[in-house]
Amino acid sequence: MAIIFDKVKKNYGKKPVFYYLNFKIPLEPTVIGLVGPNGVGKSTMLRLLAGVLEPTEGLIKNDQANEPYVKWSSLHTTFVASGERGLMYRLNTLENGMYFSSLKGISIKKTENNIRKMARDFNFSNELNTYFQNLSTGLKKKAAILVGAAMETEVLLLDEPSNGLDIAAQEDLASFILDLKNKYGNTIFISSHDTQMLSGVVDHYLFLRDGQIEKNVEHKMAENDLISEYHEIYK
Amino acid sequence: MKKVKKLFNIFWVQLYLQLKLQARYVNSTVSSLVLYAGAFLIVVFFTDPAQLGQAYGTKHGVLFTIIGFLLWSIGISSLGECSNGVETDEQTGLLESETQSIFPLWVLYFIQTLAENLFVWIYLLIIGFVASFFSIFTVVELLKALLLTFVFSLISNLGMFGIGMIFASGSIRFKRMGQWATILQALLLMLSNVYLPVYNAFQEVIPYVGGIEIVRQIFLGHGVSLSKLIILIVVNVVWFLVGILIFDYCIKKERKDGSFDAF
Repeated sequence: MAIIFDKVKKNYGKKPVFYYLNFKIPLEPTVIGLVGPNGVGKSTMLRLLAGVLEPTEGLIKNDQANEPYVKWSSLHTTFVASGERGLMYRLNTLENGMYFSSLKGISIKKTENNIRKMARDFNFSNELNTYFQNLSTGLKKKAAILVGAAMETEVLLLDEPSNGLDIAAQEDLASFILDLKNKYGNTIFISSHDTQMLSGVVDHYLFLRDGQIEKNVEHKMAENDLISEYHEIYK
Repeated sequence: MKKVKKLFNIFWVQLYLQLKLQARYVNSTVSSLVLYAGAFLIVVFFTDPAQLGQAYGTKHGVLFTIIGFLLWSIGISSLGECSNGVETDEQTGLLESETQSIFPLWVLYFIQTLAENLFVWIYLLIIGFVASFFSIFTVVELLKALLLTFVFSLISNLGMFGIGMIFASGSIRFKRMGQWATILQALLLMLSNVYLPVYNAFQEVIPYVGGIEIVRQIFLGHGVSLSKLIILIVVNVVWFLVGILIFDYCIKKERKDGSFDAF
């Protein structure tokens, strides 16, 4: 099974972001890193993969699914936005999980169990009953990732997941992402500037530039190699 | 899970979480109650219920005014909940997550409006109950009015929801709609038959106007006029469909050419 971008063009109004993107990503337990400077379209790519946005032209499809991609993605992908947005402020993490699992038609009990189980791995168990608004920036990020991961969709899309996390939380995040891949078999897309986190977890890099995929690296990279590659591409 | 079961599941979750939020935002809950009570007092004291009663040939002028007020209140709640709800969800980033639902967005807002309307009914019940001690109608008459307005609001709220969806489409397209929905809510109070009988056929395009008229006629012992019921249903179904079509179009266009996070 794979997600295919077929001549995908994406504009925001008249401003183009992607020109005729063509690529195929197999859905297997892997972590894919989207890399590039600010404004290159990393978050837009995640939103297209999530079906939150649709291509202005061209087609995104799952090669094994007959339904339109937007419909397929609503059940099989989860997008976790960057920043402190996306969850209800006066609800705690469990309640937010309850709300979003109901929207996806996923069993609430299963989501709650997942959140509790994953929270132990993510050092978040003590915060499960804290309102989202009362969490620190880093903990808000953890809560959003936890709710997204607990949906257990095949594809998890994380936008700048390590922003605002302290060093210990960054380590928790890296090991959590690897767990999701290894234990749950998720395909995880990450957009980030955090070279340390990327080099620790990513198996496959897509370097974005000028509305295209400039380079496709299908193997792990050490942090120094990643930085060198970055400077080489964006010099 | 079958689709209907999943929809019911969303409704119960909405109801449960709304209950929690009402308790947690107690300040907002009390202010809503005060707002509805204030609107009620304005309608009763700054209009002439006796004149309304005279127009219908009944001494129940106050009760007839309350019937108008109930249908207007629950109607503007439906309108406001979806127009303000979409704008707030867009600001807080919830809309992006909600677009990932397996159900269309309008379905989610419809369910949310139904759940929130139940709380508005509780406010109205409290206000009506208190008012019954200071007026000439009895608690039984009040309960009858509440029950009838509840039944007919199930129809009239379709149209009000549709109008709310049109405002929500404006929020999607222009990001901030300002106070236009609030202005419309106030205009509807003045232009409809809340404290006056219907005086112009054009008033019938307001979704709840037919509902008010039917409930008042039931109180007068005239039963339900089939033609009025058909007009009420047609007006509301048209507003509902128009609202959903415009909203769906705006969401589709925003998905293709716009962005939900640019606000």
